[in-house]
Amino acid sequence: MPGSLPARTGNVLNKPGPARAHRLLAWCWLAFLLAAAAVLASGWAQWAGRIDTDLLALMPRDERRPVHEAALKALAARGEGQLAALVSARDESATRKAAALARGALAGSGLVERKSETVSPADFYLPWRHGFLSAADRDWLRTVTPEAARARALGLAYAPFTPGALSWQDDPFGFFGNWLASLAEVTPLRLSGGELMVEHEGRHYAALIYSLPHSAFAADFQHKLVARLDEARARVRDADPDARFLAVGVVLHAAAATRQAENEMRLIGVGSLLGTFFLIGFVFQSARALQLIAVSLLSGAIAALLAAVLLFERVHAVTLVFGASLIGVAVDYAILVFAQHLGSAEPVRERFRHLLPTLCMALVTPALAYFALALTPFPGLEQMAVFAVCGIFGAWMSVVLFYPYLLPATLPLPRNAGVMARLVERWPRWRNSAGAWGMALLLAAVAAGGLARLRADDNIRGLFNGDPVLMAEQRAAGEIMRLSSPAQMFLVGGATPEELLRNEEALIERLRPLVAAGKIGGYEAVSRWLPSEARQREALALQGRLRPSLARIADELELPAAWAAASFPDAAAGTLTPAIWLADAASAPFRALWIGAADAGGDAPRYFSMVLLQGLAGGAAASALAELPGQEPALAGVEWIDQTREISALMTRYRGLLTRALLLACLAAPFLLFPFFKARVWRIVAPVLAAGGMTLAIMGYLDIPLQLLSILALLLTLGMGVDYAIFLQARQSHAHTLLATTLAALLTLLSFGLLALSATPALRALGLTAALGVMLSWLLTPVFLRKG
Amino acid sequence: MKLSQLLKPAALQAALVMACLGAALPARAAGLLDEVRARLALAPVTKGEFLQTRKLAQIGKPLVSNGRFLVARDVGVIWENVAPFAQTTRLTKNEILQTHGEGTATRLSADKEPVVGVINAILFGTLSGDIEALAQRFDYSGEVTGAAWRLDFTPKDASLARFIRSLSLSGGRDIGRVEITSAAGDVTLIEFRAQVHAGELAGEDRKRFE
Repeated sequence: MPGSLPARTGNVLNKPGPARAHRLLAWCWLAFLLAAAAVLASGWAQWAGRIDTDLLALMPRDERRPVHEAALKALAARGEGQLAALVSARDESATRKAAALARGALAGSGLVERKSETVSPADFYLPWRHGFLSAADRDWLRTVTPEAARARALGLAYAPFTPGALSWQDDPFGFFGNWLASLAEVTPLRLSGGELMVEHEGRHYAALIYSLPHSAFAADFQHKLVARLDEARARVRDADPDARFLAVGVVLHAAAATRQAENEMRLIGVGSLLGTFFLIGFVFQSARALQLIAVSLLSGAIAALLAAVLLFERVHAVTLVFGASLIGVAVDYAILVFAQHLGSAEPVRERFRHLLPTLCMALVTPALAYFALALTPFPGLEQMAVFAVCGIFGAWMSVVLFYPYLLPATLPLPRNAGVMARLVERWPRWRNSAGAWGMALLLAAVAAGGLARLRADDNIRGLFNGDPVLMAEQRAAGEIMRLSSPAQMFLVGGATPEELLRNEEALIERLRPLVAAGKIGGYEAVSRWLPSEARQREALALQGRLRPSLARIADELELPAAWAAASFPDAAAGTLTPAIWLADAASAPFRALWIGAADAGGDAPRYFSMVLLQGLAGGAAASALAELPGQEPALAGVEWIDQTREISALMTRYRGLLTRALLLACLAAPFLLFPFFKARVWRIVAPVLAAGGMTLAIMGYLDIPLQLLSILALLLTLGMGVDYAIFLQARQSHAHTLLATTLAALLTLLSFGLLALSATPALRALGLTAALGVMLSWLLTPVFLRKG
Repeated sequence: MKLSQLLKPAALQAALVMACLGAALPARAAGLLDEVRARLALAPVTKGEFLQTRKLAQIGKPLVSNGRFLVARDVGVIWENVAPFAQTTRLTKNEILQTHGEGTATRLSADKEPVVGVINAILFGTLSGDIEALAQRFDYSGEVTGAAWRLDFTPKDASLARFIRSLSLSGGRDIGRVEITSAAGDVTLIEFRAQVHAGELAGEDRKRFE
């Protein structure tokens, strides 16, 4: 492109130095773009596979509490690798048949079914079995009388059958059998006839539990998986119309998000592009203008994508959807240049020199506004900021560096330019009259009414939401399988693993009454499988008390005396330690609960674990649990974590922060612009501030709650609104500039309007607020133009 | 879900409590069950006495006990040990209530103690002669000679085999003998005597289930 430079622009620039520098920069930028395009193209397949659709990836990081982060991450990782399908038909045998049908449909999908292991956990725990007591047996032992001990042992000895892994003489009181049985309380699923079965509200369900392959978050795997699940659902329903089929797994949300993102990217991208090319083509009636727009947009896309793939491990689909809406913003520079070009006799490069300050300002203000996105701790927003800033910078660079060489000497004045000029003349203008003030006061009063209605909502659902059908299925399946809450937990800490386990046990003593009362369904805690050493020693000591009774029983049943002596090891016997437990396969399913040593800001590392809660229906139970650690006697080292609440708190905090930033920007704008516009500053600032206020008022009347993203959108509106005003005020040829700002505003409006259709609440809020703000800025700016 | 590995202790309960395997029985074997059923006179209520001999693995002397029993189909079982010590066990669908000689009681609920389900299912199946229920969880063989019959059961699921090795029932009009061999090798032999049948629970017996 710059190859044609000498012929076209040989004597355009007066000074050879800057001209050479500009040419060099243009060549460098071209080389950079070509290289970047080559890099992107060569690694495309690989990068496409790194497109993230996991909504959890968008959740904020709270740097102040790294242990919370570690816990939530571990919890997320545990859920990510799994998929469960629940099948139910009219009765148990039909359910089993339905499960077989579903299993057949899912075979070959790359999922690996988790069959129950052949090794019994009893084998692992056997050497330390005397250290384990169920809660009921511990209570029993604390108050046991020799008579009761005798009755229990004899009762079991004479029972027709004792269900347990051990023979009666190896477990005469059934303690180990009871403890193993108590482990099963952790899930309602029961292995029966080769299926994991559960009964819920009179229905039988079979659970198919799968591990996902590593490629689970690749789009083609997800497409295949969803097709297989639909097939399984159809087969089960064909066999029995009353059948239920529920699927749960993070991967399903990811698949739905992928589908949604693909559709929205298409809608916003294609819509914005068509709108852009149609409007530009219609107004400028020049094929060259369309080519130039394409060059600018392509540069922007290359720059944005390159930055995203280089800076982020995974690019989120939401970022790409948002990125598609940038078309309307990036196209502004080209439009501004074209508009100034219309019917002008001034040499191209000369005009460019005049235009450059305006172009620079037009780059800086929206870039700053987008940059504010990166100030939040939300990784998704940070990606959007990088994407936006790089995208508009890329588009701007091409306009500034390539257009001087590529623009035709002049663009013919379009037929409708005259219409525009007349429109500007007829646009209502601000006059210092009673009528104007009256109108302004009326509008202000109406706006005040809307502002009074405005409410804020910092719920997480205002950022990202899941597919409602999937969410409903997940809730139902979670209730049936009594799954632990993925967003709420107790974080337990201790200076040593032993202290940690003791703190956990103290917490569980307090949870037990809540389980008994049905307030919560149950809990998952490491100490269930790995009691603290203190508790194991206590168990040994408690059982030691039974030795005299055992000797009597041996007498009574004429058992060898050595049996009673050998039955309970003394308190010096070894106990199961965290190291042994963690190293064995028996702990594998629960190891995620153990966070282990972590830097908690103190001198020495602390040890942490999670206690997860099942059947946490409704907020009432959650708020009761939140108060638990503080209630007397206070629980040491126990902290309640509610991710939903923490994110909402974070959103509130950052909404406050950005609101202050927005107010500061509004206050600072007149002072920053004063050196350039002097007394005309109010004409620039007034329309933008009025547009912002009216946007908020409209949101108040429409009952659209204010949230973090709306504030960010207002910052964006401020940036772009100031730009429109600057363009219009800076140039004397209002008609051309109004044409440019009108086109720019329309295309921005189109992009943001399309973004407002997104199913992702964050994008919807951003799109809606920005669309309103841009539209109002565009309508109000000409009102404050000087006459003539 | 992630707890599948931990389900082993529960597997027994699961295998026993959740009935209906839905597998079609081989024709010949089904014939065997039919023949046994034809000989067995099952009444809604059966009362009688039992003599139990339990031989624990590696311990020479067998543990002998006796007492009375009451089986009411669809209601429950009362297993009353008389000698060498008094202890009454009442099994109903949802709980086990154990009363010792001196009057202390232990109550186990099936909701909280999975073990309860195990004992219930095994004893309900065997004592009430519900051979179909047993046949769903066990493979079986047996023979019929005149009015007498014998059925030998071995667990279908490996998970169940971890707790029970075999189960054997024999008798004529009534179940006469039950032999249970646990996986650990304890063998229990129960002989039933003086069995009487009734169409429904008598008033005082009904009270015992309340």
